[in-house]
Amino acid sequence: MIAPVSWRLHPGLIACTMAAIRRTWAYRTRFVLWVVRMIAQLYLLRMIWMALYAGQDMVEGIPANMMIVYLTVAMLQEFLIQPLIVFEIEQRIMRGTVASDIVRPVGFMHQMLAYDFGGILGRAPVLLVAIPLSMVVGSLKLPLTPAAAAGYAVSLILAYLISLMIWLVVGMGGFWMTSTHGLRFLLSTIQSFLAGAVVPLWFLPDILRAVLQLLPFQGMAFLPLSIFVGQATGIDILVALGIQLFWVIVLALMAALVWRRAQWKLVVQGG
Amino acid sequence: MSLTHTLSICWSLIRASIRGQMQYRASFLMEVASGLAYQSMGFVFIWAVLSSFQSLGGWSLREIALLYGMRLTAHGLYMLCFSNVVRIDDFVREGGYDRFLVRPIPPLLQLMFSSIRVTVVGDVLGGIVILMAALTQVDIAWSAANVALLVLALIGGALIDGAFQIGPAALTFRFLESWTLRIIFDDIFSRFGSYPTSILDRPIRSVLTFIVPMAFMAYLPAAALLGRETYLPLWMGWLSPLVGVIVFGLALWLFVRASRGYQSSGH
Repeated sequence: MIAPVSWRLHPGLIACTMAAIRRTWAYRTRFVLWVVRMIAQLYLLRMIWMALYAGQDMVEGIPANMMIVYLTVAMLQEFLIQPLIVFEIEQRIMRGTVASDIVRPVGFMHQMLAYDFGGILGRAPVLLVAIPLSMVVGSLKLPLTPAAAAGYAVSLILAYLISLMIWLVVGMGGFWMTSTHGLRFLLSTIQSFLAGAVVPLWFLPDILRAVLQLLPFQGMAFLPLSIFVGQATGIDILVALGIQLFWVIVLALMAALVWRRAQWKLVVQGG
Repeated sequence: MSLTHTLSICWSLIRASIRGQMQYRASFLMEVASGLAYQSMGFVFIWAVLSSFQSLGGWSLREIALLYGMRLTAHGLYMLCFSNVVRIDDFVREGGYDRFLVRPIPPLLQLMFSSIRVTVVGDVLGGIVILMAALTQVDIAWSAANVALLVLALIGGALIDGAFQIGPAALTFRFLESWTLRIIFDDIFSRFGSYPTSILDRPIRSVLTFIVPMAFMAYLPAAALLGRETYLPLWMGWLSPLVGVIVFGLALWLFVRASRGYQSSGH
């Protein structure tokens, strides 16, 4: 009934990825809206943080311009890494089409991962416009050292994997709850804060920072961004990557476990 | 048709939609929780940031809390009445607006009350809690005038919020879509509205004061309450309800006028 788990690249997976890319471009006017909103938001954030710094060069060892770069990259990253996978799973469970997805020659989980990856590929070209624009509006500067650049590249991939695994688990919650809408909305509301994309962990009150350091979310924004802006250097880069890798493994194990149970929970609606 | 008759029909619509939503209790609770989380995130941001930085545009955490509470309460009041306007695009495109035309109360009232989102209650409560907490913390000389200023400002803020949803919604009758424009205004208000408008650059600030009067939603009245200097004379804070009535009136006029051009689809 269920395709065995294998990581061989099946032509069906490529088809899923291509379908996701095409779908992303079917709604391309949204990109215009997104770019406009991004610029407005960057402008506002700049104003707020400039008002917060109020002429001081540094607060908690962080210069104002580093902060602006941090927020700019956070926003670009957030656009690239979107939880498409959780919508996809939710829709299929709610409409009952999951019944036909599950008998396809490629595993359901793999199909979903392929869709999500297609979404990333589809959105990536928008960055060709967004990056130059944010260099002007958000005074984006590229990483200072080759080590930071390389570290960030790896860290970004790990950030994507962490996000993917978190949302995969949430999405599979649908096998029990039918509608994950409420949970998804709740998590998407607080995740950018938990990830440190809104306020970097440096500026948080001690207790809050201690809590967020124990959660996987910091791996989605704070860790890669501290590498990007050059706040984490040398051995700290490796530590950050290690923490991210740890969470990728833990969350992947969790996802596999949940999936194993979910298959026996499936109730198909209306199909 | 009498006013009481109209009101009783509105009340029936509201009751029916509450009953409908209570059918999905778990989802309902989740939605209330996420609504509260969504609205409080902005405040958590301000609180977290002001633990490292002492003030924002010269305003302390307590003063910003007042501003935030006023803006959120006004937004909640607006949402209580107008949250269903978001669905105007669907009603017009799919011809559902037809139904409003054959019933005995004005179509806009039916649009407003045909499905009240119960979860909005969370927004209002969140706003009131922050506002009340802030009021005990800030230094305001309480007089009848100040109480009036606060209440009028909340109503004015709700009206301005509503005007920039209903006005753009009128475009749907011609272009079949106004979501983009409505989301832009909503975005601007929820992102910029809870900070002192004075931190913005002069040109943007002027636009958000005199053209899209966001500064009147909470900032100017809050400054008047606190007796804080702004880029405008302090008494301008009292104009908030007047500005609200003017822009809301304009929006209503635009909506009613545009709705005459409604072309039902698919029949």
